Amino acid sequence: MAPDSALRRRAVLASGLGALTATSGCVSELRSIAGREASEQLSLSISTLPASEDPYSVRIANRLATNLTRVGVDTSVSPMESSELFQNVLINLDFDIYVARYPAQGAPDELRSLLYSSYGEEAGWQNPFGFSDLEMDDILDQQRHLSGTDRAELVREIQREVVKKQPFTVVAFPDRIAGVRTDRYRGWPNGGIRRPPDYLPLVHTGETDRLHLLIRDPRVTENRNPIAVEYRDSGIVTGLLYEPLARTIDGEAIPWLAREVEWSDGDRLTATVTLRETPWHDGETVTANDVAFTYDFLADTSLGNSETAVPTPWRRGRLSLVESVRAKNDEEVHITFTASEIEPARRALEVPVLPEHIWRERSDTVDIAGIDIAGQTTEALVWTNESPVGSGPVQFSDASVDSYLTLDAFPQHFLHDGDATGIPERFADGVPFSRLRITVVPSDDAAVELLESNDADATVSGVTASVVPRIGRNDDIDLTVGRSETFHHVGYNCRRAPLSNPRFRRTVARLLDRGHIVRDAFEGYASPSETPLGEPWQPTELEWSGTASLPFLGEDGKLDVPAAREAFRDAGYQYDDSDRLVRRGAA
Amino acid sequence: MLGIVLTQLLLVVTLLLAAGAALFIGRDRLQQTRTEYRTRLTSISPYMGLLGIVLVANKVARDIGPDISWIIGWNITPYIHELDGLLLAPFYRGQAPQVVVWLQSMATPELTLYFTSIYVYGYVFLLAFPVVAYFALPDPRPLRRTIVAYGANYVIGVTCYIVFIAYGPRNLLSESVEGLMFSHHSQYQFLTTAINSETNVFPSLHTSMAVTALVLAWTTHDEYPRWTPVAALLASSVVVATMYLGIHWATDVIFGILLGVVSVKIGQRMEENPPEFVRLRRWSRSLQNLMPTRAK
Repeated sequence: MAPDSALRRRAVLASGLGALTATSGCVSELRSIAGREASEQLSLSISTLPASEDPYSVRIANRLATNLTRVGVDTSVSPMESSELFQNVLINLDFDIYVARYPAQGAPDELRSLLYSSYGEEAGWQNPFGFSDLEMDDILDQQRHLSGTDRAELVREIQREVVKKQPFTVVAFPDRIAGVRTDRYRGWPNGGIRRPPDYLPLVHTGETDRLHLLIRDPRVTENRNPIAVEYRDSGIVTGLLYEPLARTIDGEAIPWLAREVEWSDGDRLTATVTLRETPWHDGETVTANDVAFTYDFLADTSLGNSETAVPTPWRRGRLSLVESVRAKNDEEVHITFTASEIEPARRALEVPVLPEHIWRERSDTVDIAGIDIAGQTTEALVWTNESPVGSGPVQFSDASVDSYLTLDAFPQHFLHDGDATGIPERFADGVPFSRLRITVVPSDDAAVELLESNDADATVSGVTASVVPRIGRNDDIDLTVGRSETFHHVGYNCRRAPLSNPRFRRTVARLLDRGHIVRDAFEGYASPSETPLGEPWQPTELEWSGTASLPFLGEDGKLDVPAAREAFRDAGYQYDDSDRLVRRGAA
Repeated sequence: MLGIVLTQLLLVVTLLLAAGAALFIGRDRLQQTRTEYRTRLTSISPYMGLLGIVLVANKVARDIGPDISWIIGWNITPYIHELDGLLLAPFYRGQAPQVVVWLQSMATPELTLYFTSIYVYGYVFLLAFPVVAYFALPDPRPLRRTIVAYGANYVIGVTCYIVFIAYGPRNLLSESVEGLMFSHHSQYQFLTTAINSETNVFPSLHTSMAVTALVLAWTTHDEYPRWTPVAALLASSVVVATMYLGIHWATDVIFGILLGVVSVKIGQRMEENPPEFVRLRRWSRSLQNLMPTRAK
C-alpha cells in the first residue's frame, strides 16, 4: 500500500510539473486576458424636470431614453425639481445628459456664453457642457467685432458648427401659451407676459386696480436674488424689481435707467451713459457709483477677495462685453467695451443695476461654521434676498414660500414721476396697477380653474398645450399664443466619455424625431429646430423642412433599431453578444 | 379655492360619519358613550399625548423635509420605474405595460369621478370612522391600537419621505399616464399641494393608512361585523385609486400595504400598557449596554 501510494504521488508530481511547463504559455495568455478589464454595458442617466414643472422636457427625455435603451445603452430618466436640476447641471457640473429649456433671449452672443471653452469650469449657463473647440472660440469672439450682414453671416456659420459638433441638441422652440381675462385688464401681448416691460402697456379697464397673475414656477417666492442662477428663468419678476441701463424690445434699443447713451468709436468702443434721477426702493438715490459697482461686482462678486474671480453665474456673457466702467460724476458713467461694434456691445447695458450700499457687504466667501465648503462661492450668489431693494417700477411687499408674492407700485420711479425721455409711449405711464399679486398654482389645470372662477387675471410664465382645449371652451378666458426664443434641448456633459466624442453625440441626436416629438409631446404647440437661433440667424439649409440635417434613424417616431446600431458601430462603438453597447475603461 | 374644498370635505365627512354612526355603532353604544366619555378619555390620554408629539414632529418634517430630502435624500424614481415595469411581466408575453398605464387604459369619466371621490372623501372617512367607532366601545384597546397604528404610519412614512426622493408616475410617464384627478377635478390639487410635496410618494401613505383601517376593522370584527366589508371596499378602492389616478407606483402601494400591516402590529404591542417615559429610559439604557465598554 505504501510504495504504491508513494509511486502514485511521484507520478502525480511528474505529470503536474509537465502540465505546468506545458501551461506556462497559457498563463501568460491568461494574464493578458485578465489584465484587460472586462468591458461593460454603457449606462447613461438623463436628468430632467418632473412633468408637473415641464411635461415637454420629461417627454423628450423618455423618448430619448427608450431609443437609447433599444440601441443597447442602459439608460434611466431621473426627474428632479428645477432648483436641484440646475444646481447639478449648472453649478456642480454633475450629470451625463439633461433635457431642459434654455431661457434664451434670442441674442447671438448668448451662444458665446454657452460654448466658449474657457467657461467650462464656471458655474451657470456658461458652457455647462464643458465643450471645447478652438475654432469655435475664434468665431464666437469674431462675431463681437462685426455688425450687420457680416455678423449675420458669421453667426450662421456658428450655427452650422453647433449642428455639426452637437455640444447640445436643439429639439424645438415651444410656443408661449397663456390664458387671460379681459374684464379688468386689456392689452395682453401674444403668448402672455414674457418679459418685464410687458406689464407696462396693459390697460386697466375694470374697477379694481389690482392685478392678479398666476405662476407655475414657485422659485421666486423662495429666492429673489437676481443672480442666483438656479432660481432664475426669464426674470419675469426680478426684472420688474431690478432694472438695466437700457433694454432691447423687439429689436429697438430703449434707454431705461440711462436717460441717454452716447457711443463713441475711437481707439476702443466706449459709451457715456447719463442716468435718470430715480431712487432705490429704500429711498437712496441711484448713482453712477452704483452702476460702476454693479459691473465690477458682477465680474467678481468677491471684489478681489478670492484667489480667482467669482463672476455672476447668471447671464455672465453680458459682463464679458465690458472692459471697464468708471463713474465720471454722480450721474455720468463711462463704459469701455471689449466688443468693437455697437450691435453686440449693446447687450452689456442690459445687466440689472444693483445698489452698492446693499450688495457690497455680500462679497465674502461662503462658509458653514467657519469651514469653507462651497469653494468658489460668495454670499452674493447664495443669498435668498428676501426683501429685494431695486429701482424698478414696483417694490417688494410680501411673500410666502411656494404660495404667493405681492408687489406694490413704486410711486417715486422715474416713469411714475414723469420722466419718459426716449421711452416709447406704450411704456411711458409705468405700471397700470397699485398692487400686483402673483399666486403660485400647483398645475396648469389649477391655473385655469382659478381663471374660470374669476379669481385671477392671467397666467404668467406660460401654460402647456394640455390645457388649451379647456381654455378654449370657456368664453370668459382668452387664449393667446406666441412664438418664443427659448428652446428645449438635450445637453451633453462633454467632459465624460463617450459624450466627449462628437461622433457619439451626433448619433444620439439622430435618435430624436423632432417632427414626431412636436406633434405628440408638444401637442403641436412648438416649432421643430436644429439650431438654437431662429430668423435671421439661420442658414437656409438648416431651416426646418421636415427632416433634420442629422436625420432621425427611423420613420414616424419609430426607431429603425438595426440601422441605429449600425450608426453607433460606424461611430466606432461595439456590441457584446447580447446586443449591449459596451465600453472599455473605468466609468 | 382651498377654503371651498376644505369646507366641502368637512361637510361630506361629517355626513358620512353621522350615517356610519347610525348604521354601524347603534344607539345603545352611543348612549353609553355619553355617560362614560370621561373615563374613556382618561384611559387613552397618554396615547393622545403621543399622537400629539407625532403630529407636531410630522408638521415640522413636512415643512423642512423636502429641502433636507434634496440634500441627503436618494432619488429612487428610476429604480421604482424599472421595478414597476417588471410587475406585470409574468402575465404578458413580450413587453409588459406599466401597472399604472394598464389601469389607466380602463379609465372612464365615471371611474375617474369615483376614484377621485374615494381618494379625497372616502379616504378621510375611512380613517376618521374607526376613531369614532372605537371610542364608542368600553374596551380602550381598539382605540389605543388605532392611535398608535396611525402614528406609526406617519413616523415611518415621513422618515421614508426624507430618505427617498421619488416622483409618481404622472410626473415621469407624462405621455402615457395622466394625473387624472388633477386634470379632471383640478380643485382638489389645492388641497393635496397644501398637505404634501409631490416627491413624497414612496411608500404610499394613502395605501398604508387605508390598509391599517382595514386590518383594524378585521381585529374588531366581533364588535362591528358590518363595518368590515365596508372598510374592505373603501380600503381596496383607495389602494386602486392611488394608482389609477397616476399618483403612486405599484411599488409604493406594495410597500404601503406592508407598512399598514406592520403599523397595526405595533399598535397591538402598545395597546395594553400606555407609553411611559420610564420605559423609554430603560430602552435607551439597554441600548447603552449594547455599546462596548472599557475594562476597569
